[in-house]
Formats: sequence, C-alpha cells, structure tokens
Amino acid sequence: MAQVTLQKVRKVYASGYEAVQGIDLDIHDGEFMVLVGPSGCAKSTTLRMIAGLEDITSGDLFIGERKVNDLPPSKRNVAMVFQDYALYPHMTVYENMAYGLRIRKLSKSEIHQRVTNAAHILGLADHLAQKPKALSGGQRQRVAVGRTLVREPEVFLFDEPLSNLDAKLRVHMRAEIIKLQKTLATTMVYVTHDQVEAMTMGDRICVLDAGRIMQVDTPRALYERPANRFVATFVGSPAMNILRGRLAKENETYCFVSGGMTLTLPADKADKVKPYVNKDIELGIRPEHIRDRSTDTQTDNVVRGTVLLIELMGNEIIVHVDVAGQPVIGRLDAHAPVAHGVEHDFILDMRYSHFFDPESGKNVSC
Amino acid sequence: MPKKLLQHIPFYLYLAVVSLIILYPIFLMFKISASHPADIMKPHKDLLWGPAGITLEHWHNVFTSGLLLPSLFKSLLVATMVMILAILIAAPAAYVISRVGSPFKYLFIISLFISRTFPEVAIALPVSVVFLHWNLLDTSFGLILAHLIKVLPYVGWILIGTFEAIPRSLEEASSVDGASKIRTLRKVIFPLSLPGVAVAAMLVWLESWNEFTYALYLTVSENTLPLQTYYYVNRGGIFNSAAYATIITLPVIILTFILQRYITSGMLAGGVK
Repeated sequence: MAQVTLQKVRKVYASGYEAVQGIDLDIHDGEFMVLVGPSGCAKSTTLRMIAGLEDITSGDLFIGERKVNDLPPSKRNVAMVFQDYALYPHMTVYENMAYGLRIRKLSKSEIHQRVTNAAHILGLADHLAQKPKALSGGQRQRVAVGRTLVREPEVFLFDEPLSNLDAKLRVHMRAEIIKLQKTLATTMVYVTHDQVEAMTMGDRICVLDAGRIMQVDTPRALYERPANRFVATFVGSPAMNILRGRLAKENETYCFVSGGMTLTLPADKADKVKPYVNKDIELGIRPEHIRDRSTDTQTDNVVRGTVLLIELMGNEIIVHVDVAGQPVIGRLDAHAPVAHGVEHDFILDMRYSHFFDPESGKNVSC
Repeated sequence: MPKKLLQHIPFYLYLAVVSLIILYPIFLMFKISASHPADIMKPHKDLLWGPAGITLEHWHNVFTSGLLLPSLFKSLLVATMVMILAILIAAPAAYVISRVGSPFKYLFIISLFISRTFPEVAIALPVSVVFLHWNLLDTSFGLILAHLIKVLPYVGWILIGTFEAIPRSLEEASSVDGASKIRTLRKVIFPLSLPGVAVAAMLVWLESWNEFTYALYLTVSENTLPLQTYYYVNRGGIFNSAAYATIITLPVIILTFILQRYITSGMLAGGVK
C-alpha cells in the first residue's frame, strides 16, 4: 500500500508533441482515484507513466517514499489491468495468475493458495485449467483482475478495463471492482473515458483535458462545483447547458440577459459575479434545474422555447428546446405536457446556476 | 440430410477432378521409376500401369550407384543448416523490426527484398567467383551461405508478420508482472511465435532442398539431389531421374501436410479482447 505522487510530470514525444503538460497529483494511500477525460486527454499516458511503460520526460514520480522515474515496470511493484486484458494465450487461467508470483519465486503452496483464493473471489474456480480462448469476455476480464489481485501490489492500475464488455456486464463488473477496492483498501488508479464510470467508482476524480488537469475532487464536488466550463459540461449527462449573454444590473438586482430573456440572480451568486456587470458572461445550468412552468410554484425566471425533440427515458423525458436561438436541454417528468414543435414555458432554477468567464472558462460563481 | 448431401456432390466432384489433375503427374513420376522401359517408351501409353508390371530395377540402380547417399546427405545437411541459420539470423532481426515505428518498418521490409530484385542466374555468377577466392566453391558451407541469400528475405518477412501479430500489451503485462526482457522473450514471445517460426523453418528447408541454380554454379564434385536428378535427365536416364524425383518429392509432401496444420492454428486466440 502506498500513495502515488506526481510532481510536474511531463511527457513530450520525439515528434515534439507534449502529451502531458506538467501534472501535479497526489493519490492518497488506499484511495480509488479515477482519471477521466475525452480521447487524447493523456489519461492513459499518465497511467502508463505510473506503470513505467512510458518514460517520463521531466518531473518526479513517487510510489510510497520511492522515486521511481527510472525504475523499470518490473521493479515498481504495481499491477495493471489492460484494456485488451493482455492474457497470455498459451497459458491456462491458473498459469496466467501464477506468472507474476513464480517470477517473485514464491513457494508453490503460497502460489497455490493465492491463486485459488483469487479464483474463488472472482468466481473462476471452475476455469483454472482452461485457456483464455475458452472463456467469455467477462471471464477473461476477471482473469485479468485476478492476475493483479494475487500479486498484492502497492498500487493497482486499471486502463479502461470495462470498455470491451457489453453494457449489462459492465455495470456488474463495475460493482465488483468497487467492492474489491473497499475490501482490499489498496490504492487504485483507474482510467476511463466514461464519466458515469468515473462518478460511480471514484473516491476522487481527476478530470483531464489535452494533457492538463482540469479539476481533482470528489464526484459530488465535481458535479456541484465544477471549476470550469470543461468539467461542467464533461461531468453529467445530458451535459450542463451553457448560455451566452451579458450581466446587467437593474435596481440593485443582478440579471443575466440573453436574447430577450432576463434571469434574476440569487444574492449569493450575484455577490460573486459583480465584476462582470455589463460584460459578456456564460450561464451554466444543469438539465434537472430546468422545470415545467405549468406544474411549478416558482413564478420568476420563466423562459419560453420551442420544443425540438423529446426523448422518453421511461421515468423522465429529455427535452431539447430552442430558446431564442440557443439550444437548451431539460430533464422533465415523464408526463410533462410538452409537445413536439410547440412553444412551452420553462422555469430556470437560478439557485443552481453557474457562471463562467467566456475567455478562460473559469467558474466565477463558486 | 440427403438433400444436403446432394448439394455437396458437385463440390466433391470438383475436388476429385482437381486432385486428379494435381496428383496424376506425381503418380506418373513414380510409375516411370518403377516401370519396364518397354511400357514407357511405346507410343500409346497405358493410363495406369503397363502390361510388363512393376520393376525395382531403376530403384536398385539408384541405390547401388553409390551416388545417392552422398547427395542425399549433402542435401539434408545443407537444407537443415540453412534452416537453422536462417531462423537464428532472421528471428532477432524480425522481432526488432516488428517493434520499430511504422515509417522505418516499411523501409526495412522493402530493403530486405533488394537482393531478390536481381535474377538468381545473374547473382550466382559473381557469388561463385568470390567463393572461388574464398575457397568456398564446392563446399557445403558455401552452398549454405548462397542459400541464405535466397531465403533470408522470405524468412524475415514471415517472422515480422508473426511477431507483429503478438500484441505489445502482452509484453507490457509481463513486464508489469515483474519479468525481465529476457524472461518475457523466453516465456511469452517465444512460445507464441513458435507456429510462425515453424512455418518459416519448414519453408526454408523446402526452398533449400529444392534449390537448383546456386547449387549448379557452386558445385563441382558432390551433387545435391536436384543436381543428381538433372544429371540423369541430361544424359537421357529418365528412369533414374524419376526415382530421384520421387525421393526429392516425398519430404516435400510430408512437410506440406504438417505445415498446413500449423497455418490454420489459432495460437493467439483469447489473449486480447
């Protein structure tokens, strides 16, 4: 067990492309840290640098107290689950799991005990003599996890391990991995591009974009207090609505004005965005904070828009609305009286609004 | 079921006809080697076997001439040594080429075949002149070196493909599991590349076993089997040639049977995804 510390870690490829642009990250001992971001955000590269599969161009990487910049993967005492599982196809399930232990010259009985124990936990006990070829996708996935379990490493690394599974199995394995981490209480670094996976699994989440850290925080904090427009729109589905407009001051109240709609800011928000009066600003509001006027008690901050599309999810509907030329997505009750192509009144709950600087994208309201 | 069987009949008929076309010349070769000259030299030949029946006379001649064993031994020695050396030289090179970046890889693979762009007949002459200076003419070692010129590009090419098919993530997994580079090669790369290496080795062995041009240029006294066959053809001894041709063909047929099994095996299945 160990914490992992990245200090100003950079990765520059021979072509001059700077994939990782100086990352500072403290992953605590026993923590489940999720690295999440869109394709090409360098989350996998960062994980591979921790594993030792990619060189670090500059900066320092510590696992526990040890600086491991120049240690080969074999000396770092980390275990990794690869996106493509990377099982040894010529070995049985047992041999796959025992491989790393044999290298460490553990006794036969110790190896046997660890492998059978892991196989029991993962429900692979009946498959130990089989080769990966004979297993289903989910079973192969579990062998890959088992191979890391038996190692009892200081840090577990997962590189998008669920992306090759079908949706149902993915939800199941997600729960299995979370349970496992709670039981083992070992540091885990988990890479995914799926923000739902990130939100449900991580103790903390590190959101990356284009080789930079956008925000590191708990799932709840990321959702409720995104540090910038990128995090705000990346976390949550459907994404947070972003409306462009200006901040105006009318009779001591601060208003967001955009294409004919005027929205009043609550006092606490107004306090923080004062410097933007008469300047451009962006309003962010999540789909669940847009409500149906006809069944609501709130009377201010009403906007009128034309319904472009209604997606029925069963328990709710996702409505795509055109509000004065800007697209807005709302999440309403499944029986809300909206109709395709018809104008409708919506309420924006400004208590949950966010304001972003149009230039830097920084959240200036929290 | 009978309907399904009926549907397959045209296919099996087709197979039978094609097999017959391919196998009949081989049968002819064997027939000539074991027939009386009178049955072979007459204008209207029998489809299967002549009325004079089977004779072992030509085979007896071949075995008692004292020429078979030395040439058989030389051919075996040269083919086996070419196979071993080709794999030993090409495998490490192919592994490295399979793991370098793509623009260089293409260049390497193209350059492998530069020696193959010249006709063999044209290269064999300067090779034999140089070998004469180096005292390699009329030696098995010289012939082995010459055959390597011919087979190394192919072996390299096949093995690059073999190693490329082994996902790099397996090496990375092995390395994270604590294995050294050598151990990874021994425990992961080598076992997984075995089918490809076996195919390449057998192709090389066959290529050297059949090789004629270099052998002709570089041999003065001790013939290889193809040269020995040619020697009889040249002197009109078609019965002895047929016996030699049969001897050359047998290992080719056997090896090809083994080869096709390896080519269809799914060694890498299940490892990734």
